[in-house]
Order: sequence, then C-alpha cells, then structure tokens
Amino acid sequence: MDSPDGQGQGGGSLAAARDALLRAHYDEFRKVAGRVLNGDAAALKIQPTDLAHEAVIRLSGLDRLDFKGRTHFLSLSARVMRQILIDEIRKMRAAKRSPPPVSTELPPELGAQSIDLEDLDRALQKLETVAPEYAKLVDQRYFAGLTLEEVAEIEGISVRTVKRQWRAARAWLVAELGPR
Amino acid sequence: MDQTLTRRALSIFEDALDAEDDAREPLISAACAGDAALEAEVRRLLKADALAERAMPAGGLQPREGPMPTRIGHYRIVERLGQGGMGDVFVGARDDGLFEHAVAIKRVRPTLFAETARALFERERRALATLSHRHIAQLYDGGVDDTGAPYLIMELVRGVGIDDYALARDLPPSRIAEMMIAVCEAVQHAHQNLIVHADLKPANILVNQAGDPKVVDFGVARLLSEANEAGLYPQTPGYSSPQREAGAAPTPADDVFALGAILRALLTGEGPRGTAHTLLTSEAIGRSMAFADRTPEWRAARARDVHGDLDAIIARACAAQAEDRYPAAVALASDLRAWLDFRPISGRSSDRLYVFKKFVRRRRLRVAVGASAAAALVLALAVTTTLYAQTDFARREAEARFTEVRSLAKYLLYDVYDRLDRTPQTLAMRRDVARVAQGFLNALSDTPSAPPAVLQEAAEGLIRVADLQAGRSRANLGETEAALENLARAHAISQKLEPAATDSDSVSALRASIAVRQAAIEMNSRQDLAAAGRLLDDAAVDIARIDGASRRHAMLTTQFEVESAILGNWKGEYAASTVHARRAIEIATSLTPDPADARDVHYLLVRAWDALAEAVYYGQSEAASEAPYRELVKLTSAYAAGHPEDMLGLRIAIEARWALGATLLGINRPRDALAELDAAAAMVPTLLDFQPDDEGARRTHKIVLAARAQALAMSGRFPEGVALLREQLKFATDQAQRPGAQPSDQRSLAVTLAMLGDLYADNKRNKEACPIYAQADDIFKQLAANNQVSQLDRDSAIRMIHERQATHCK
Repeated sequence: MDSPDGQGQGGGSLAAARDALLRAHYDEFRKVAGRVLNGDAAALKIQPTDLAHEAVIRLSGLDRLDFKGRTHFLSLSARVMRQILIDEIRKMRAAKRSPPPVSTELPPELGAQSIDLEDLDRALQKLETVAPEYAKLVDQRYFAGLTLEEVAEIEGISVRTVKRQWRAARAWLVAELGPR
Repeated sequence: MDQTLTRRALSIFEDALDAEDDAREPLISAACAGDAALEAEVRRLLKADALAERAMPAGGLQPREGPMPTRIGHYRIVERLGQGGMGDVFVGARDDGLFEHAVAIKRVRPTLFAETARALFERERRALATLSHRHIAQLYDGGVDDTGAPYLIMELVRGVGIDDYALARDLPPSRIAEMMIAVCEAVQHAHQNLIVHADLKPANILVNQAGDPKVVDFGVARLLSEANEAGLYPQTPGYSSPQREAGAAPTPADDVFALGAILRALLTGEGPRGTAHTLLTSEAIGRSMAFADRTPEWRAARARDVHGDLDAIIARACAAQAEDRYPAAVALASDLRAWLDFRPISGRSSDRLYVFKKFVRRRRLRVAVGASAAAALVLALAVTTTLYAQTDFARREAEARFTEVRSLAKYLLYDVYDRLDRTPQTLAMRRDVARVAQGFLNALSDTPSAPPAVLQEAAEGLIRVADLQAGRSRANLGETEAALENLARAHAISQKLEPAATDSDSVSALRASIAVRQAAIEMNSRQDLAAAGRLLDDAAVDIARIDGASRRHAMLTTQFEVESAILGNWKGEYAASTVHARRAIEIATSLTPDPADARDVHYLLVRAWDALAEAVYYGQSEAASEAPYRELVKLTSAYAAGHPEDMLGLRIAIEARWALGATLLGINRPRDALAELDAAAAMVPTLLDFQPDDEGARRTHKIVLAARAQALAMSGRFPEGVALLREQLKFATDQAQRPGAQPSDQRSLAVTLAMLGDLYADNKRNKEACPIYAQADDIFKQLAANNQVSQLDRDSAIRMIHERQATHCK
C-alpha cells in the first residue's frame, strides 16, 4: 500500500479532518472490530458493514456528526476499516491454537458466496495496484456500507458512472475470486 | 498480469455495457484491435458479470445458506427471506392450527440491541400492533428468542419495492398516483395513531402480486433509534427532510417530505440522488438514466404528463420548510386525486381557451377537494383525541412519543389551523382543530410530572386556542366562554410555574399575556369593566417584571396600552383613553419591522388607531375624529391590498371605512359617507363568501348595512334605506334569539332597533319610530338589570333613545 489511507487524492481540509477523526477513533474501531470477531464459533461469518455501522453509531454519539458528515467520514475511512478488520483477524488467528476461518457472505450481487476475508483483502489489494478507483468503490460499498447514490454524491460523479464502475469492479472480483 | 491490460479491459467492459446488444460485439472487436489477451480479459469480465447478474434477479432477495433457526416463538421457520441492516427476515409458519398461516419474522441482530432498550422495544411493539390498515403490513406479535434477540412477527408481504414494481411494469403516472394515494392513506392512518414512520423510502413500500402497496417497517426507525445508545434514527439520504438531516426528531411533516420524494423517484425512475434537486420532476425525466433506453417521444410524453400539477404537488410535499409542505399525508393524497380526476382531455389540450377554462375549473374544484381532505383529517384527529382521553396519559409520559404529542399539538394549532384559516368555508373544521389540539394540551398539562418547559408550552398553546376562539387579531370562532375557560386553565398553569425555577421573564410574560386577553374578553363580551380593570392592573405588574429592553416587553406594553385605551372608551374616560392609545401607537411604530410578528404588530396598531379615533369621536367631537379615522382607513386598506389572503385584514379595512362613513353621516355629509360605505359594502361579499358563519364577518356585514341604510335615507333614498335596515333587523333578531346568544347579541339588537327608529324619526315617521324605540329601551333595561350595560351605552345609545323618545313620542 503506497498511500496509507488508500484514497490517493482528497482535499486538504477534508483529509485533515478525517485524519484527526481517525486518530481519535482508531482504538475505538479496533475495539469494535475485536468485538465483531469475538465469537467462540468454529467458523466466524461476519458482515464487514457491521464494523462501519457500529463505528458510526458510536461516532455519532461522540461527535454529533451530521448525516452528510457521517457519510463522508465513512467513505474516507472505508479503507482503514478494512485494514483494521484484517489486522484483527490476523491477530486473532495468531492467538488461537486452531484459528477459525473468517469468512464473509458476499452481497448477492457479488454472487452470494462465502469467501475468506483475507482472500477478499488480497484481491482488493491487487485491484488497488491496477485500478485504485475501482478498489476504492468496493471499499466504500462493502466496508463502509455506502449506497451507489451516496458514493456518487461524495465523489461528485454521476450515479450512472458509479453504477458502471461498480458493475465492472464486481465482474473483476467475481472473475478473480470465483472458481477458475 | 499487465496492469494497463486490466485497466483497458475494465474500460472496454464499461463501454460494452452501454452498447445495444447487436452493437456490443463489433465494439469489443474494434476496441481490442486484435489484442487477443485484452479481448480474453474483457470476455472474462463479461462472463463474470453475467454470473453476477443471474445471482441477483431484479428486486428479489435470494434465500441464503447459513445457520437458520428452526423456531422463533410459536413459529416454525420455513425460509430466509432476506438480510437487512437490522437483522434477518424469515418466513415463519404457525403449525398448531388446521392450516398454516405464513408470517414474516424480523429478528433484530442482538449486537445492535442494548439490554436497556428492551423494555422500550416491548412498549413500542405494542403501540405498533394497534396499526391496522389495508396498506400497512400488520404487526402481529413479537418477543425475545432463546439467544436474546428481539423479534417481530409481521404480515408476510411477498412483493418487490414500489420503485422496482413501477419500473418493471412500466406504470404510467396515473397508476403511480393511484398507488401513492393508497400509501398516503396508510401513512395518515399511522399519524392519527401518533406513529411516525421516520424512514419512508421505496424499499419500505412493497407491492404484492395483487398490485397492492404495503408500507412495511412502521416505527422500526424508532426501534432502531432506541436500540443504540446515541438515539440515532436511521435515515435515507434524499428521502429524509432537511430537518431530519439536521438531526431533529421525526415528525409527520418529515413523512410528507419522504412521500413527495418517493413520488418523484417513481415518476423519474430513479432515486433522489440521481438528479439534481433543483430540477423539476418533469425536467428530471428527460435526464433519467432509467429511461435512457426510451424513445425521445416517450420521455417527452411522460414529462408532459408530469409537468405543471405533479411538479407542483411534489414541490409542495418536498418544501424545505415544514410549514410549506402539505399539512398532512391525506392532503397530499387529495391533491393527487384531484389531479387524477380533472386532467384536461389531451386531444384538446392545444386549444388555449379550453386549457384555461379547465385550469380554472380544476383550481376551483381543488379548493373544494382540499377542504374535504382537511375535513377527513379533522374527523380522524377527533378519533385520536378520544383514544387519548381513554388512555392513561401519565403512563405514557416517559415515552418518546410525549415529544410527538407536543409536536402534534403545535402542528395542529399553528400549521394546520393557519392553513385552514386561509381556506374558505372551514370554520367548523377550525373549531374542531382547536378542540382536538385542546385535548392534547389538556393531556399535557394534566401530566403530574410534566417538566416546567412543557407546562409553559401547554399554557402558551391554551392561549393560542383562546385566541382562535375569541381573539381580536384573527377571524375568531366566537366562543368567548370556552376562551375564558382556556385562559383560566393557562392561568392556573402559570401559577404552578415557579418564576425562580425557570426563565422568570417568560413566566411573567405568560401571565401578562393571559391577563390582557382575559381583560379584552371581560370588557368586550361580558361587559364586566371592573373585572377588566383588575386584570389589566395584574398585567401591568407582570409586565414591569420583564426586561424593559426586550421586544417581548414592548409587544406586551403595546397590548396593555391598547386594551387600556379600549377600556377607557367603554368607561367614558376618553382623555385617559387618548393617552393610552397614543402611547400604543408610539411603541408599535418604533419597533423594528420583523416578519415574525409583523401581523401582530399591524393588528395592534390598527386597534390602537381605532381606539384613538373612538376616544376623539366621543370625547371631543365627531368632526375631530375624521382625521384618525382616515388614518385608520389608509393603514387598513394598504394592508388588505397587500394581503388578499388575510380575511381579517379585509374585514378590518371594511370596518374602518364603515367607521369613517358613520362619522361623516354624523356631521351631515351623507354623500361623502355613502362613498365610504359603498366601498365597504363592495368588499363585504368576499368576506361572507369566505366564511358565512364567522361571527366577526357577520357583525361587519351588519354594521355596514345599517350605516348604508342611514346614508341612503339621508341622501334622499329613504325606502331603500328602510328595506336594508329591516333586513338587518331580522338578522339581529335571529341572532339574539338563538341558543347561546351573548349579551352582546342583545345589545346589538337594541342598537339596530334604535337605528331603525332613528331612520323613521328623522324622516318624520314617528308612528313607526316610537314602538321601535320602546322595544330597544326594554332590551337595554333588561341588560341593565343584569348589570350588563356599559358606560358607553349609557352615555350614547340609551341616552339618545331617551332623548328621541322625549322629542318624538309624547
């Protein structure tokens, strides 16, 4: 990862605000991620958006972010949330004698199949190197739980464009993760 | 893998998505230009895309693999219907009966649900279960399962979101309007049960196989807000109002906003974020991606259908300010129905005259429809109050709904009432609205542990109801006794408020505003001048406690001076009255204009000038009062011309001309008088058409008639004058004899009789005049026996009758 937040560009003041927020709540995110993963089941199945939702619920209580602020914040921290989640998964796996597989159900539009979160992370890292804006879109959609409309609004591009890009990113992920 | 290859493949793939089916292959071949690796990558993407598309057919959610509970509550789990942000939805079947009854079971994810919220969840669930409407998915039951996760048992709706349904079936705007009418009615039903949906969006309106829309997840937004510590309500961008986005708690007006946004989404085929908000709905249709594959003709036709009325309906529903929106979901529904019923026939739509006529007809009908919708609202609200009277309000006080009751009372008293105030022929409805709001306010003020701020608000609400019933600055309902009761109630509340405990200025202001209103009713309706005087003294004490530099102080002082001037006139203390009135005018004109209270200031100023003119008329001379009366005519005519919707403004402009005309009659300038009175009479029909049964309007009608009759007679048109006055006399007699007549009705009859007597006597018809004077005198004697005669009447009306009798009736 060449850019620490995976965002590439981003306005100065907004980025600064995001950094401050993230610094303030990084530990909070970690705790949430830990809690999401803290099950004794033989196999964990989680929804990455749980993390985002929990984080937002906590953040909104702490910071009185308005709705637009929340969406923006989520979008900006989507990549970080994925990172935290993967880190926590690795930590948990290292600590347990027989680490459970941590899989996630991809949304139906991604084929409704169960995949290992680390595989998903690897695929996304690969996509980041070739087409970062597509990877970012997946993060926003999947890890921050934003709708395509919200992404369009945040990025200042048309919903039509976002829909096309999403379909392309989706096709690429399905091809990458699916049976060969 | 070659990075640029993937990039280029993604880009070609996207272009291919846009291409028509038969253009796709040539496009791919041309773009890849013989690069086999690139083409293979594009095809790999296309294949994966087809796979993903198949995995998600439009609108449907697929049953998932994964652990599924076998039972929840009394229900056997049959299948998983879907998975949402708040948890899972299953299909359950009750298997203890002869036949299986399928239900939807929504299980809230335990991690999202704090232990403390469980009790609230339980109570809320019971409230939601009371909703029963054809277009609302019924909530049957609920509970907590073995794992501690709360669940809801709901009517199973097998269907798709209304947006997908409308797109898939290619619904025309008329069908969309019909479906939205059903949805509006469902939302209205919930509002009447004091339940706000708070998260209306297309995904929450499912359409079943029969084509019936069903609103789902009523109140779930609230459940979710209670489930997280921050009390955060979920909301959907584009469908939530600016107030909600700013963090305000949900109100019925927010649901109206969402309904408008949904209507727009259905008509344009895409969600609110798809097109700029500044675009009219009809304009957005042309740019909608959902209709990109339609012919330009099709799009133009749809835009034409939506242009105008539907554009206006959506704009009103989605107005940024809550008070500019439809007052209720049912009002939105009624406009949609009006649009459905009265659309011009397309074959003739190019005929401009036809369109114009149709337009006028539609507008007129719409006013009538609007009024009937309001009637439905009031009727329904009446049911709501009855319900509330039956429930133990105190038990509910801790609930968040308490806030909603407050907001509903406010909404009724200010938004709904003001709107009805501007709608013709709604007097009975306004009376009902006031009564219903009063029910809410009584419930609020009776709550033993209501905090001071709520009590203060309830008292202010009661004052507002009293103003509606008998206030001077609006077309009142003519219910003086009820108004006095409400003021007494407000007074009792204000006594409970510790000035030290809350903002002492506002408690003093509250008490002063109650006292000046009580004083006004005591002197004007009950003719109890002593009581009015005592109340004004009380008001002065409270006003003195308020910060002298505040606007509140200035407004209350003006009010106090105006009422004091009027009391002075009743008591015959004209010199004092002149001083009070001049002081009121001075303060009111020195206030910096503020749109928030411009109307109140105007009416205070009008009453001050009126009191001044009257004091000069009686205290100095009729001739001297011409100047202040002309000032009054100037002030009121300008206002009436600038505010055609303000019926009170019109009435007061009429009354000012009447007062000037009557004065000119008295100084023997009948022709000048007739000009003023004709101008006044010309405005009367507008007033009566608007509200034939309004007490104030009737009174105005009465006095203009009487004065015109005199002016006609004095201008040499005696028979015309007698006919007019006889008509008036009949009216006054009916009023005085109706049940619930007030002393002021008796007085008004006596004055009318005296005027008719004067008309005859002045024209040397003593034989007719004398029995009429005797009748008038009898009425005043009766009033005097009950101590209901003012000094003003003793000084003028009664004395004049006696003088006339002495001269003409020996």
